Formats: sequence, C-alpha cells, structure tokens
Amino acid sequence: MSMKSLRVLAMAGALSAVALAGAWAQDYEKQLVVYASHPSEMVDHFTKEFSEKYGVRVTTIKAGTGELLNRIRAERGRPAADVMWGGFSDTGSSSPDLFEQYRSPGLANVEAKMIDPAGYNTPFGASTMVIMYNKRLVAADKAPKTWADLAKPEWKGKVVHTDPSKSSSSLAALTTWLQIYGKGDAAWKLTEEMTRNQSIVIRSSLVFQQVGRGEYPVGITYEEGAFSYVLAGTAGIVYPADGTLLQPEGMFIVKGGPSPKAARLFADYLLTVDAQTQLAEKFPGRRPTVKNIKTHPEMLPPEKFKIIDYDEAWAAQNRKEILDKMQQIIIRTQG
Amino acid sequence: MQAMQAWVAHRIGFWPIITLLVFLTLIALLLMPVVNIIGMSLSSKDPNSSVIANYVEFFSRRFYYQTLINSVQVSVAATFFAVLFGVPAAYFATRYEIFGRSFVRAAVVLTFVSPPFIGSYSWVVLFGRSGIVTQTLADIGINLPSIYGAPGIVLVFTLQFFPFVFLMVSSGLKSIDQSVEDAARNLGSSELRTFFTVLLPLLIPSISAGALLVFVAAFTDIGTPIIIGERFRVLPVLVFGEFVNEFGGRPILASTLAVLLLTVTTSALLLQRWYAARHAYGTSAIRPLLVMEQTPLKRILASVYVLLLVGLALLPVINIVISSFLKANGPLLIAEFTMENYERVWRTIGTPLSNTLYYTTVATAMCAVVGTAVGYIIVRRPGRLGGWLDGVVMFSYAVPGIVLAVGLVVTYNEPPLILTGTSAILILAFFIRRLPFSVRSSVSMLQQLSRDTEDASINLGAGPGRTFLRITVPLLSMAILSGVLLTWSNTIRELSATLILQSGNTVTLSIEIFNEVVNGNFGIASALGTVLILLTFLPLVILFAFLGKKEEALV
Repeated sequence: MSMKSLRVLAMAGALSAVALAGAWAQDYEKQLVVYASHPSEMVDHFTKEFSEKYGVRVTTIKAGTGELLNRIRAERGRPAADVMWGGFSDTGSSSPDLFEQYRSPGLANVEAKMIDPAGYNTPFGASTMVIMYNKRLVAADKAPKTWADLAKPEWKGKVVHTDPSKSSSSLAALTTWLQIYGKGDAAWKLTEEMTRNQSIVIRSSLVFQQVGRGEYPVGITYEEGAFSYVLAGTAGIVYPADGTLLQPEGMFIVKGGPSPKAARLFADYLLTVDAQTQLAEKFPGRRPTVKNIKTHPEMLPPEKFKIIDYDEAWAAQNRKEILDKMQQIIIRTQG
Repeated sequence: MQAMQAWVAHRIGFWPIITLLVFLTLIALLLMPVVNIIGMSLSSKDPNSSVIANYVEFFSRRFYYQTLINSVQVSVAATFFAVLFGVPAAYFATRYEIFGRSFVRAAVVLTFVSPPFIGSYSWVVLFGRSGIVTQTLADIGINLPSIYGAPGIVLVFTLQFFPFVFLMVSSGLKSIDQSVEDAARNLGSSELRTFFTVLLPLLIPSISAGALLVFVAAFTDIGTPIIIGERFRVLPVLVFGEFVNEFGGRPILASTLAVLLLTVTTSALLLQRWYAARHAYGTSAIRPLLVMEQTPLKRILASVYVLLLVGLALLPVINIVISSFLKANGPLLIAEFTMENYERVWRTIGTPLSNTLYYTTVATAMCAVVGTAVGYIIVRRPGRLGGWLDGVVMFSYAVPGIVLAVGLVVTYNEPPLILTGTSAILILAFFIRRLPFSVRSSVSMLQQLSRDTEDASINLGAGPGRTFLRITVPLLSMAILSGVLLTWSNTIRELSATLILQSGNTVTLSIEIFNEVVNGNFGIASALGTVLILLTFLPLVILFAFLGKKEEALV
C-alpha cells in the first residue's frame, strides 16, 4: 500500500470519527428541510444516503436559486427550511439576515481556496466554466483554445450560450471574461464581439445538450454538464488557455430553521470522505473539494489548467450593472 | 343560519345569487388579472415618464418589436398552411371511401393528445442538424434544409395544429345537406367546381373557427420556438424569459409583452367572429353529405394524401413512445430496448403525478359545476346579465394561458392574498382556462333540451334551485360527463400557464417533461410523455367508444 493511499485511509478514519462523534455527541432533530437548486439526481442521491445513514427524514423542495432565496426571505419570520443547497459561494455572506455561519470540522481537510472566509458556505463541490465542442462537427485541434477565440469570425453563429440574466453559471462565465480582460471597455468590447457570434438560449442546460447532440459545434457551459457528453463520446472540453474560474458551490444553513442540529450534521456529512468519494464517482464531472479525493480520470486536475484568481466581491457588487450592460449587448447584437 | 339562507334565497332568488357568484369569480380570476397587467404595462419606475413609455420602448427597439413581427409572420403562415392542408384532408376523410379511415380518426386524436413541448423536441431528434432522419438521408446524399428558424417553426406548427382545421371542417361538412350538393351536380357542375362554389362558402364559419384556433395556438406557443427558434425570437418566449430570470424578472416588461399578446389574440377573435357572422347560413342537415363512390385512382390518391399528412403529424408521438423504451448511454439514446426509463420514472413520478391528477380533477370538477351553471344562465335566463356573461366567457377564449398566468402572478403575489407558488393558483388557472369550453358545451346541450320538464317542476312548486339540481342536471348528466372527460384530457397536459405558475413543490407531469427535455434526458422525458399520453388518451377512448362522441368534440 502506497503512502498516499495510507494517508487517505487515515484521513478517512479521522473524518468518519469526526462525523460519528458529531452524530453521537449531540442528539439531533429527526427531520430536515432542504431547499435545493442543484440537479435533482444529485440532490436525491445525497439526501437519501444521509437519511438512511442518520435516520433523519429529509424533505426537499427543488426550484431555481432565485426563487428559493425569495422564499427564504419571505419566510424570515418563521423559517421552514433548514438548508439552502445551491447558489453562489457568497450567497450566505451577502445575506447574513437569512443565513447562519457554520464552520464544519470537515473544513480542515478542504482545499484552502474553497473555504468561505466569512464562514457561511459549506463547500461540498467546485465547478468551473469551460468551452465544449462537438467532436463530429469540430476537430479537436480546430477547437477554440481561449475565450477570446470565440470572438473570431469563424465561429459566427456556431456558439451557443445562455443569457446571463437567466443563469448564474453563465453570469459567472461573463464575469470571468471581464476579469481576465481588465474589467473595462476592452473587456466589454470583446464580450460584445463574442456575443455577436452566439446563439443565446434561456436555459443553461440547453447549451450542453445541444452541443452534445450535435446541433451546435461549440458551447459555453459548466463542466459537469459538458462532461456527461464527454463520457458518451460525442463532445470534448477545452479549458480556456486565458483562464477560467474554479469556484466552490453553495450550501448554507438557514438562520432560525426548525432543525439546526440536523442541518449542521448534513453539512458535516457532505464533507465526509464517503460523500466526497461518491460525489466524484457517481456524478462524474463534479469536483470534490476535500483534498486527495480523485476526480474522474478524464477530468483535468486543477493544477493542469489555468485558474484565475476570481474576484467574487467585485462580481457581487457589480452584478446589477453587469447584467444591465449585458442586456444592452444582447439587444444590440441579437436583434 | 338555515333560516338566513332560506330568507336570502327567497328574497333574492336562487339564480341571481348564482349569477352574482359567477360574476365575482370571473372578475377575480379573469378580469382583475387582465386589468392589472394593463395597469402595470402603463406604469413605470420613473414617475416622470409617460404612461405609454413601455410601449414606446418596445416599438423603438428592434430586439423587441421584431419578436411581434416574427410571431405574426409564423402564425399567419402556419394558419395558411393548416387551412391549405387541413381542409382537403377533412373533405377526403369525410366524403371519400379512403383506406385506413379509422386509423386516420384515431391518429388525429393522438396528435391532439401529444404533450406539448416534447412534441417539438421530437422534431429536433428526427430532423435536427444531427437528427436521425437528417443523418440517414445525408448518408445517401440528400441534404435536408435546416429545421431551425422560421421555416421549421411554420412546419412544426402546421403539422401540430392542422387537426383544429381538420376537425372543425369535418364537423362543418356534417351539417351540410346532401341536397345542396346534388342540386349543383345535377346542374352539371364538376366536383371541384361544386366544392369551391357551393361547399366552401358554407364551410367558411368552420374554416375560420379552425383557423382562429391554429392562429392563437401558434401565436402563444412557447415550446417550439424555444427549441428550434435560434435567433428567430417570438413574443411568448420573451414573456417566458422574464420568469426564468435568476436575478428577479421585470414584471413591468412581462406585463407589457402580455398585453401585446392579448391585443393580437383578441383582435383575431373579433375578426373571426365578424367574418364568420357575415358568412353564416342557417344550414341544418336532414340528410347529411354522403360518402361518394370514387374511381380507384382517386380513392388511392386521396388516401395517400390523408395518410401522409396524418402520418407526418403523428411522427413526434411515435418517436416519443419508441424513445421511452430506448437505452441511454449517458444522455444519449442508443438503439437497444430497455425498461430502464420506466424504472427511473417509477421512482420519481409520485409527486408530479399526484399533483397533476389532483389539480386536473379539482379544476375539472369546478369547470363542470360552474360551466353548467353559466350555460344555464346564458340559455335559460337571457337578459343583460346573461349577455354580459356570454361576452366575458367569449373574451376568455382570447386570453392565452401565458397571459393569464402573468396576470395571476401580478394580481396575487402581494398581501392580502398571496397565491403564487401554491396549488390553488394552478387549479384556478386550469379552471378559468377551460371554463369557456365547458360553458360552450353546456350551452349547446341546453339549447337542445326542451324546457317542458323544467317548467313542469316549477309549476308543481319546486324552487328554481331544486329544479336545476333535480331536473336539469340529471337530464344533462351524460352530456356533463362527456364534458368532464374532455376537460380532463385537455387540462392534464397544460404547460404554458403552468410553466409560469408552478414552483418547486407544485411540479406537474408536463413540467417534469419540460425539465427532463431541457436537461437532455430525452429517454426519461419520453417515458413521462408516454404516461401522459395514456392519461390523456384513456378518457377520450371512453368518450368515443362508450359515450358515442365523435372526435369533432375535441374542438
């Protein structure tokens, strides 16, 4: 047995000890309400596992991030939810009136970059934005190498992307381009040229499935969406050479929820080696955040592609202005 | 309490109370939402701007106004082609001894029960750039034109909606007397000439009614343009887009767009009413048009034409059913049969299925009760109020699901009554959308029912409420039952209003199908679609097989 696997084993032991200690030391509520905007397959899988493991009855309410946030806000007086599973990694810190800080003991084994400095997020997974291409329509060596390549005339009408006002992931892509190219006029000019080449859809999932099925040559999408088509053999992924973001996904504990202990237990559970390994194995395309858990062999490990130092605070503060400007660009270029 | 009720019933009377309640319902669920979106479309965040600022914005931006032009273009084109192909098909199917006649009848019904949206997606699976048919033909050197953009939308709409024309014209042909045709033919007119100069003018009310249904359906459809529109943007998709906005939609913009949609559909309705009224002839068929004897060649040609058209329209349904049994390699379907999709669906269908059945059943029951009462008021108690009711109900035909949904959201998302996100708002929306159809069917059955029995009951001292419940309703029970089956079938697949009104835990089958399609799980979506097709088809089988209704009842 190699040193590495020994280390993993030891850590797994330590982690489950932490989790079990958590479960034994405090008795927790026997029910949990999870509001989730992540894909339902993953949500169902982990809530079911959690429920069986700890004997907690989990109720999930699935909807879009925006809608769930509105609900949590409306229910502020008498919160119905314990956990908000979805949203940006800064969703919690930007609404301290709705969410509670929680630093799970499991964070000790999480990559430092993934940890929320404000202490709200439980970063169970990370995602990145990529360029996806259809293998039948685009040869691997002809595929665009950078975001900026997508502004070239050869890609006119061949790129599919979601309207950033309809999808947080596509907004993340937009703010990534802006940050790479200096946040100023030059960056916006490039964005406009890229947008002119694009076909804009209103659901982010339409991007990867249209490219995967061969209806479009190229798309801008999140990695796990593209990855299922990589495994199916129809698509390839380009990690743009000019950089992309790798951001933790959101999971927050609702302030004053009916089952606070069960909510914390759920957060701890998501950071266990067991849950993280399942995340990597059963949901290929998702990136676990706990150290030394292997991502799928066909996924490029994070040290092999260029990750920008994503300025989340800037993106959050300027969100409205960015969306307004983008709306104008769409109106100008897609009319 | 009872004394109080009796007093009220006695002083004011049974029917005035019912009429009042019906009016309040219509005001709350139809008129207020419509008035509110109009009000909102005239409002602005900027107090200094003019009341029509939103419309000025709309008509000065190509991005916006082009969608209106596009919508009108594809809807008019689809209507034109639906009439062009639908009228001859109905004529052949009714008048000629075509082959596979019962297949044609069943197929037309099946195209009707095809769940919305997944049908449009089927066209991409078959005729998209990497579609099955496209690729197969490309391999033998035939390049099909792209299904994307305006021509594809017109094609899909035409095939999806021509059954409206087919059914309307079939029923129109049945009300023409054989003697009319005989007179023309005996005077030496050819079949073609007789059709154009004698039958066609008599069919104008039916054709225009079918054309109106096609136009409104095409003009307000969301699914097809989302999937194959690409840069070709249409108005309803713009409205829908405001409700999938992750960062808070713009209700003012959505309302403005909804008012524009409503203006066009209302104008179309008024135009059709005016046109049909000018061409209305009081015909009643004592001896309906007969099936004609044809030369074999004519018979074959007519059969081929009808079967091709109906077969083409049926392709999406066939594709859905087959795909539901196909194995998936990740997100892609491969040619290997399996029950996996159904196994997965079996585990997750609980909530959406029970929601769907619950909402549909409650809304259908409400439609049956209120629809029968409204029909009764219109037919038996004509007067100013009855006339008003008739007008309001007619107007509600023109209110598309998406507009109603925007109106309900705008009206009921604030205290004192917050309904957004609840089951109630979906049930109420289903109810009000189907109400005009229930009213129409109860009006037509009451018109055929003699008043004598009711009068006898009143003369013998039973009150009007008692007479209605003990005499009229039992007399109409079979008619009400067939109305219920029709309403149920139509309501269970509702998508456009549901898309806007549903939230996480009020998910329905059609929403699940929509989500699975946009997430790329076509196999799962097809399995769900097949379940929905069955749920829609079964009541219709009962209706046609046991209650002796004809498919024309669908429109």
